[in-house]
Amino acid sequence: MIVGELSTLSNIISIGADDSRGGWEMHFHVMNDTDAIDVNQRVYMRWSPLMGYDYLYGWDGRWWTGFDGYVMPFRFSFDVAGSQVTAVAQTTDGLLRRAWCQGIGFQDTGADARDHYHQFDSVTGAIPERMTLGRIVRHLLGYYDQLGVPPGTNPDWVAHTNYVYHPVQNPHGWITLQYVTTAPFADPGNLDGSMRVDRYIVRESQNLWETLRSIANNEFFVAYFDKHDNFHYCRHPMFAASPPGARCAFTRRLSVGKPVVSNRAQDRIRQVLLHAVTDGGNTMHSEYPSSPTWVYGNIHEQSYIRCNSQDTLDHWAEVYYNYLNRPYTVQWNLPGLAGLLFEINDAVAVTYSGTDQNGVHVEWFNEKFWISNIMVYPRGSSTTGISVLTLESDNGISP
Amino acid sequence: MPFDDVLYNALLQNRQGAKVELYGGRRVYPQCGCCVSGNTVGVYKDPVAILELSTTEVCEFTPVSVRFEKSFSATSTIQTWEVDWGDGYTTNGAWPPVGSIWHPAGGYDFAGVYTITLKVTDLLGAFDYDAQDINVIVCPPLYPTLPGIIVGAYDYGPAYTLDLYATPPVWVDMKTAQLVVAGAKRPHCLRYVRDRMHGNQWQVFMGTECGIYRYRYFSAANPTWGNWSQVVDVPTMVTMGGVAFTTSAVWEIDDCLDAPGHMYACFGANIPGIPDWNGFGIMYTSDYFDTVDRILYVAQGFWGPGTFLGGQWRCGLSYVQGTSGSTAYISSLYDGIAGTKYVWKTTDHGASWPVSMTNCGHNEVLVHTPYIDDSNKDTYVYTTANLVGVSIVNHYSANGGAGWAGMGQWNKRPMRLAMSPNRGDLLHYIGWSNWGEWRTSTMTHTNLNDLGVGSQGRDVLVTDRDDDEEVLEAVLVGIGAGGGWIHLWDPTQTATLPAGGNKNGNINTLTGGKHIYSVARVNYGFPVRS
Repeated sequence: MIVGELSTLSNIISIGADDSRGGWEMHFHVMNDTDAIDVNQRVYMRWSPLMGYDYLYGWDGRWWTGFDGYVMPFRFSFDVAGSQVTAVAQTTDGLLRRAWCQGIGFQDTGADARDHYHQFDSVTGAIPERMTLGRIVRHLLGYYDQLGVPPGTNPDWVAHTNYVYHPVQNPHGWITLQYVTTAPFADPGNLDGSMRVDRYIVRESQNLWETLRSIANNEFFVAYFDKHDNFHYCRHPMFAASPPGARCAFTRRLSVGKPVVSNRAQDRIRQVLLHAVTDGGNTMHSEYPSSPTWVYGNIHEQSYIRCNSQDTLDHWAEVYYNYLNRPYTVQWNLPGLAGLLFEINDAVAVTYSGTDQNGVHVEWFNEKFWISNIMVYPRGSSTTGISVLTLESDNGISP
Repeated sequence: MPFDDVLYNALLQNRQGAKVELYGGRRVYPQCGCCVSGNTVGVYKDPVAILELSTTEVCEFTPVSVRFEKSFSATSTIQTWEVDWGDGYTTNGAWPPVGSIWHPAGGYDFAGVYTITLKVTDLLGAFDYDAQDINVIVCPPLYPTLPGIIVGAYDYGPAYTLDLYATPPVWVDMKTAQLVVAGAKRPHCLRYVRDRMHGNQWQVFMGTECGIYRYRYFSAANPTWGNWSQVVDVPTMVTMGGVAFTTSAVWEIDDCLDAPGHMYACFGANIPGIPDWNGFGIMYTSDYFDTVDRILYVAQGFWGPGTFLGGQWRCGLSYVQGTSGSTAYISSLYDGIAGTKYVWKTTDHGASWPVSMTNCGHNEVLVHTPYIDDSNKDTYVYTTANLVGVSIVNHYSANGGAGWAGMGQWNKRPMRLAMSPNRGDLLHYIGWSNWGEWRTSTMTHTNLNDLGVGSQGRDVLVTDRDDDEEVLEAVLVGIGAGGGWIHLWDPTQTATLPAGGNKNGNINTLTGGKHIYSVARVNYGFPVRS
C-alpha cells in the first residue's frame, strides 16, 4: 500500500455522483502494482483547470478536490508483462453500505431520567435535547452524549460506528457531523429543522447507509457525502423552505457535445398523497392537488413521513408534485472536469434557445435545473476531459 | 456556495484540460456495532434481564417472590416481562414491574429444584432471559407448634381464630379448611393434609409418610363418593374435579392402602374473595390404637351423611361437627399437645358425647349444639378421666334443649364450666364436686337446676344472656365444703337476683362452703370469677 502519490501508477476512469446513491465514486486503474492500494485505503484526487485558463493567464496554482474517498474491494488482472488493478473508491457512504446496524428503539422520555442512550432527555438543561430524526442519525454515527442529570455530569462518547472523528474519544475517525441538521423543526422558526419524534424504531440492518437514507426520506431530508467526504443530513434543497438559487449559469458556451433532453410529458403524476405521523402519534394527510389533475395517470402516495406541521406537509406535497411532473431531464456536457465543481442537488440556470438550424424548440432563459447526477471522465492526467451532468427541471419548485 | 468567477471564466475558454493528481492515503478500519464507546461504557444490544429471588430455598406452600427491576435495555426500552416459575405457573405484565412479583399460587406445591426464568422484551421485540434456581423443600409438619385451636394456626391471617370468649362465642368464618385424619393402623402414616384454593377450585395437598395412598372425595355439589384415585405417590396436589365448589367436601384418604385404615379430610366453604391461601388444617395421627378406624370430620357449611365416630380420637384435633340425625360421638379424646382446644359441635339433634375425655394438658372443650329442641338429643360433655384444668363451654344450647355439662370426676378440679350464653334455658347438673356422680332429676326449662360446687370446686357463674330472667332461678344449689362461689349474673340488671339465695331458698351449704353471690352487670364479658 502506497501512502503517497499514485498518479504515475494510476489512471482515473471516471468520477461521479448520483442523487440516488448519495455519494461520490471514482473508478480507476492502477498499473503494475497490485499492492499499491489496499481496501479501505483513502484515495484523494485533486485537479486544477489547466489549459484554457493557464494558456491565457498562467496557472494560479489552485487545486480543487475532485474526490476524497476510500477504496472498495477491488480486483486485478495480469499477464506475463504486467498487471492492472481495477478499483472503485467511494466516499464513506460506500463503507456505510457495508456496515451493520442493530435494531434500536429510540424514545423521547420527556423527563430527566434516562435509562439508556436511546432515550432522549427533553427536559433537562437550558436547551433540552428534543429527539429529532437528525439526532437519531447523529447517534447512529457517533457523538458525545450527555447522559445524566444535569447534562455533563456523566458524558459518554456513544456511537454505532467508529467513523466520526473526536480528538479524544475517537481520534481515528475520519468524518464529522458538522453538516448534520439536528435542531428541531419549528413552524414558524425553523422550517428546515429536523422533525421531532417521540418514538422511532430503527430496524436492524446490514446497510447502515440505507438506514440513514430511509430516515432522511421520512422527513424529505437528504443524506449524502460530498466529494470532500463531508456528510450532509439536511432538508433536500428542493423541499427547503427557501430553495437555493442557481450556482452557475449554463450557456451554450459551457456546453460541449450534444445535450440530450428527455421530454417527460408521458410520466405525469396526477396527484401526490402524503401521509405523515406527528411526534405525538397523530396522523396528517396532504393531497396535491386537492383533486387529481388528470383523469388518467398515476397517483404517487407516500407514507411513514414524520412531520409536525400541516402547512409544511402541504408544501412538500406541492413540491413533490411539481418535481414528479417536471417537463425535462437534461443531459448536459460540460468541458473538462468542470463537473467536479458541482455537487448533486446543486441548482444551475440554463439559458438556451433553439435555432432554425437545429430546430430545437426550447426557450430557456435562466431556466432552473437541479443536478441529479454528475459523471466526469478525465481521460488521463494533464489532459482534457468531459463532464456529464444530469439536470432536472425545477418546474416551479422554487418560488 | 457561490461559483468561482475566475474559474467560471476559465471554463468559458474553448480548450479545457486539467492537472490531475491522485494520492493514496492511510487505510481506515471501519467498525460498526452496538454503541461503540470510546472510553466509557460498553452496552449490550439486547435487553438484559436481571432476576433476583427473595430466597433460594423455600418451604412448600410458602410464598416466594422475585424482583427484576434492575433489568434494563441499553438500546431500547423494555416493554413487557414474564416470569416462568418453573412449575407451570407464569406471571407477566407490562414494564416496569411494581415491587416484588409473587408466585401466583402462593408458593410451590412440591419439593424440588425449580428454575425461575425471567424474560424481558423490548419494544423492538428483542428479549433476554435470566434464570435462577430455587430449592423447594419439605418443611417439618407444623403440628407441634400449632397453638390453640388448629384452625388457621398457620400464619395466613387473623381470620383463623376462634374466640370462645366472645359474647356469644363467635364462630369465626371458617374459611380455612378443616382437617380430620382418621386413626391409622400404623404410626405416622398420614403425615399432613393441606388444602388450598386455586381460583374456584379446591385442592388438597396430601401426603403420607408411608409413601402411597389413594383418595376420593365428595361434596355438596357431588354428594356421592367419587371413584378411588389410582394409587399415587406422595406428595400430590389434587384438584377436586375442576368444579367450582361453594361448599366443602369430604376427602377420604386411604392411607397406605392398609385397610381399614381410612382417613378423611374435609374442607371449608369456598368463600368468594378469599385469597389463594385458604389456610389449612393438620392432624397428626400418632401411633395410637389400632382400633381406630376412622373419624369423619365435617367442616362448616357441609352436611354429611350419618356419622360414626368410633374408636379413639387422638388429641390435638380441632373442631368436630356431628351431623344430622346421627349419633355421632367420639368415644374418647386425648390431648397430646398442651394448649390445644377442642371444639365439639353437633348440628341437628345430634346426641354427642365424648364418652371419655382424657386430659393431656390444659385445654378447653367447646360444645356446640345449635338445634337442640329434643330432650332426648342432648349434648353431653362429661369426663371420665383426668380433666384437670379443662374448661368446658357449653355453647348455644338453644330452644330448651337439655344440655348439660358436667365434670364429676371425683376429686378432680376442672377449671371452668360455663353454660349457654344464649337461650340456655336449662342447664342441668353443673357440678364439679367430689361427689363423683351426676344428678338425674328432670327439671323445667325455665330454671337453672342443681348447681353444685363441690368441696374442691371453684366458682360457678350463672348468667342469662337472653335476658329472660329464667336462668337466675336456681332451684337447687349445693355448695360443698370448701367450694367456691356461685355467681348469678344478669347483664341487663332486669332480673330479680336472689340475693344470697335461690328461688326456693334451698341452698345446701356445707360447712365452709360459700354462698350464692349475685352480681349485677359486672361486665359485659364472661367473668367466670368474681
